Amino acid sequence: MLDKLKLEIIDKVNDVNNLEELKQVKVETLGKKGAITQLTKTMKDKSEEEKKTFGKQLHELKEYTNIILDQKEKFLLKQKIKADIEAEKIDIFLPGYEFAAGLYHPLTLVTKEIEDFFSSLGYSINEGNEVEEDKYNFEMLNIPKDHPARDMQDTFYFNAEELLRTHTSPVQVRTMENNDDKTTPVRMICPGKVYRRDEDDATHSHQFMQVEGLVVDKNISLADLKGTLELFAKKMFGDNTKVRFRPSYFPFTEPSVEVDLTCHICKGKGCSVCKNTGWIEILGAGQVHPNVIEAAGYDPNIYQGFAFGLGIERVAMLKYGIDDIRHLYNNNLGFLNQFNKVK
Amino acid sequence: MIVSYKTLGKYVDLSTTSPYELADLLTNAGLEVEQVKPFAQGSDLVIGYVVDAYKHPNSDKLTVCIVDVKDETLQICCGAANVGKDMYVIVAKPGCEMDYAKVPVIKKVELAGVESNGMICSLLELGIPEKFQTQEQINGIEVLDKEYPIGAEALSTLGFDDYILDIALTPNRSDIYSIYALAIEVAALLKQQVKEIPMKVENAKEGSYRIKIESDDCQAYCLYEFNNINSQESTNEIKNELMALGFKPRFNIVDIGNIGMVISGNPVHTFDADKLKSKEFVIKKGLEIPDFLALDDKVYQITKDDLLITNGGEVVAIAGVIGSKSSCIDENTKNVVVETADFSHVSIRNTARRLDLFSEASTRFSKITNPYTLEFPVRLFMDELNLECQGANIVGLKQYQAQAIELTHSKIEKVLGIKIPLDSCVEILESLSFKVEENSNTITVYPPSYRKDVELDVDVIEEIIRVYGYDNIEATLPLQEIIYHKLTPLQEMVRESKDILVGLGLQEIVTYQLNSKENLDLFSDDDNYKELLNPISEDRKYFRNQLLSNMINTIQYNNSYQHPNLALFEISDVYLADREDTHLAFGLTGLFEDNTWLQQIKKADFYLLKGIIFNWLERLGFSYGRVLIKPVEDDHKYLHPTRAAYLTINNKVFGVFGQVHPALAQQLKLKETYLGSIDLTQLANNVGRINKFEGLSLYPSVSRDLSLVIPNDVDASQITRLAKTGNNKLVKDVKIFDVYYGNNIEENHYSMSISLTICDDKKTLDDNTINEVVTNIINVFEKKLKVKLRQ
Repeated sequence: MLDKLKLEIIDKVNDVNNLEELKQVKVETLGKKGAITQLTKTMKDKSEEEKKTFGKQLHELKEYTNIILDQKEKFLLKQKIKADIEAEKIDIFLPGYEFAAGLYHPLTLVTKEIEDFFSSLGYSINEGNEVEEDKYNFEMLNIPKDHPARDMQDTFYFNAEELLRTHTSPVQVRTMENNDDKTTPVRMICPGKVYRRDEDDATHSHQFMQVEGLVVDKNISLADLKGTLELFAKKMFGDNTKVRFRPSYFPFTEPSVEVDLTCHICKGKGCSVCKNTGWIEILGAGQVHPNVIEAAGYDPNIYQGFAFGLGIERVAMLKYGIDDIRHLYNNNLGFLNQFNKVK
Repeated sequence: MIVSYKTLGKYVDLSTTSPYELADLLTNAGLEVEQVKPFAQGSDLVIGYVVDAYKHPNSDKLTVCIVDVKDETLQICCGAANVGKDMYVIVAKPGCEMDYAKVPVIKKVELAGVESNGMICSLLELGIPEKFQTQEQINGIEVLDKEYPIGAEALSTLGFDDYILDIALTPNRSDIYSIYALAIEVAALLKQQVKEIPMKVENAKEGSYRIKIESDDCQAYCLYEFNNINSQESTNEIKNELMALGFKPRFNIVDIGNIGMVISGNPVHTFDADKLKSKEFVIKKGLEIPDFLALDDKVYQITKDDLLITNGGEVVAIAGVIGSKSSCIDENTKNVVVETADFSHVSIRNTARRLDLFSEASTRFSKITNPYTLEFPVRLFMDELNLECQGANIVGLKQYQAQAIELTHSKIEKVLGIKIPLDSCVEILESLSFKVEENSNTITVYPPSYRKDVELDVDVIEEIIRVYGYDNIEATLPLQEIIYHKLTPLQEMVRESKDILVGLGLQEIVTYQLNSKENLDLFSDDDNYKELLNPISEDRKYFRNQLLSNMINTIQYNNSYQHPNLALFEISDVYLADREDTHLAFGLTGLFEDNTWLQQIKKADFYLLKGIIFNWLERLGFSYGRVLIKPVEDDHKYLHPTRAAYLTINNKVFGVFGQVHPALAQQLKLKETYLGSIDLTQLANNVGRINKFEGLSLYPSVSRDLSLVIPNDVDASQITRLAKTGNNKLVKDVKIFDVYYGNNIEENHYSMSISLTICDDKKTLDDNTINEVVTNIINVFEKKLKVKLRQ
């Protein structure tokens, strides 16, 4: 009798197609009025002997039914999830939520990268005034009134004493001068806007940006300048970038050098960007002139150091392949849209 | 500075150094060669002889020439009017490459039915500039002046095989305006000896002139007399050299004077002795002459600061700049007086600048001349023209006394960071014509007379490393004690603000600090801008006092480039009366977010800008409540009086934002545009608060929504403030989730729905308490603001 019931249950479970039907089978077998439950109720009428064998068989059937119902349920659940996944399919290629997009100006990108690099080496970030005194812009930098070097930089004047700074170098003097203790070592950069009385064209801008660097202590040498700029070049233009010094002249440094980097486009082989030289002129630098150290109140017999001045537009133009400096100041959205990465 | 490779080669052996190698050598030694180019160009040019020439049968303009070039005879059709039989000419054979000709490669062609095998050349086609040539040369082919070997390579035969180097001189190396000084430099770099040449006028007897110097701006003045000169055209050799050096050949006296100047670096001026009225020269300042006729046939105005050379009461030259027409030499001159002098560079520079007359001579006088070698160009003049000096008058000529510069070996190492053997240092300095005395640990250095730039020990160190080679410096990093630096609150605020605003979807711009009065006036309360003395144009004459003018310029510019949707910001210093402050400007117009399948259009409006500003402030640590807003004046200059607000902190205004005033928008043809201007310097003075942790509430909060009918003269800030004040300590937040103006509302009223968040930090709220709070708020609204619940 139980064998027949077992076969019936197996057939029923096999015929089940969904979870509702399975629930129904469970009610019909193990529910209060289910076949197995009904049989359990007949136990009280059986003899002790029968109770023992029948009870055991009934228990086994109950266990067995539980197992096959369970297996079937697991199978059906799996099937349902599969069906749900299919039913809930969406087009993942539809665009996502479009947040308004804003970007840093490329000059900010380059400035940040330079500031972060020198900050990591323990440089302070100083600022000076764009409206500067003749004294700081020229005289204290070893450029007296009739010095021929004043021809190098045409200057915007407000009056005989006030001008728009032509370089960030006045911050060298101001930084040292501001130190009350003239034995305090200096390690600073100063990014900022500077001005030359040039007509704007593809390579000239009456307003542009520089970063000044200054390190002064008892033994800061030209070799230290080379090491610092080598690290800087690697950070800005890649690990294989090399640095070359060429002699040059600035009134506020002695010795003075022009600094070239291996061309990052052709890796030094020669291309149109580097005019086939393999090198790109990037900045001017040198050992701070003793007259400048002295003008700022430090003792030039004890203190020495290096300074450099870098054009930020030049770096931005090289790095991003910008062919006309005016793009940087026109702020055409079509131009600005293109600078979403530092590298 | 233009240098002829051949001229330089007269004084230093360049036989194993090509012009291009020379250029690299000089560039690496600090004399940057910007360009090297052949004086004349063309491959395989030969000397030809025109055996026969006759009219082209089919063309009026062409002549058919039969040209002997030794190995063959070429038939060439020539378009020049001046070609003819029995001429020696320059011939480009087929295959010849010519950069300056109309066709880059000469080919065998047929011209109007006649075969033509090459080209007879003009100097222009060789790349020799027009400015050096006569009109006849410019119009036709080059007719050679004499017999040359037929078939010989033309450029070398004619002396055109020179190279021109253009050196960009730094102000400290003006001595290189002398090719002889350059030769010394090159000799040092090539480890050679420079060719010694005489620099003094020897054994001249006392001349016939008297010299009176009445100005300190003239330190020395010398006159040398030469008589019976045969004034004539210079030789071809001299002419070629002059052209390579950038001068137009004229006649021998002028030409040799120019060459002497270029070699020695010291200009000479030559007077026609027969045109001088007196035997007395006075050098002085203080005259004012409105119409000085100069030798270039132009009239110049002389002012009292110009240094002048006078003779017999007449100005015969503006010292160092230009001579008079009345005393100048010409092709008929027989007797000359050659002037060489030491003038003040500053005085000459000022005069040359005022008259805009920077000639080769005044440029040299303005920068550097060597007072110790004043006779050098005169001696070159004598030797080149084979003249004897008939008399010399010399005032102020000095002997050079070199200043000693002491230098220790340890200083060299300290400055450069590398060790250079002392022997090498001495060798380098001596090769540069410095005199060196060696002591135990120091050297004493005496620079040559023309190296005025070498004054200090570091100047000498630069000379050493320049020649020793910067490539030999091994890179090191500075060793210093650690110095702690931190950014100022303003620097941090600028950095963070850029990060936040870019994150919120605004685009950063950078604009010019100089703008026009007209533009600045639009957004300024006064017109007290910093004004330039020497602007390039009216458009860039004033240093701006705010950023909004440029913001509007940028918006207009972008609108004209089909960018109607803009959300921009700029952070920059501005100049206010006596100080530089940092400002932040906003500019919004068009769509902020466009319509997509997912999103509604978000247009730029007052509330978008307000949201951006308060989100930015919140992230900087300024919560609403600390920063408050207040309405702008009814007559605000550039903002819409009812759609703009001031930002305040501690009752002080630090910014303003809102819609552009309709009148201004109309004037500027702007679409709906919103601007903001914020003084970051002032805001940064208020940072420094750190929020302390207040603990987490252990008890649940509940929210209650109210729909209110509000009289039109009551604003949102009154509602939210009132809901939180008084006995309503349990109200933690008031959120406005709907505002409705329109029908179904009582006249002069509008409707607002608010959501109250109520919470007690000490216990769980019961219904009674909640109802009490809500009722209380409703009552206060009714009583104080005449605000009712919406039915």
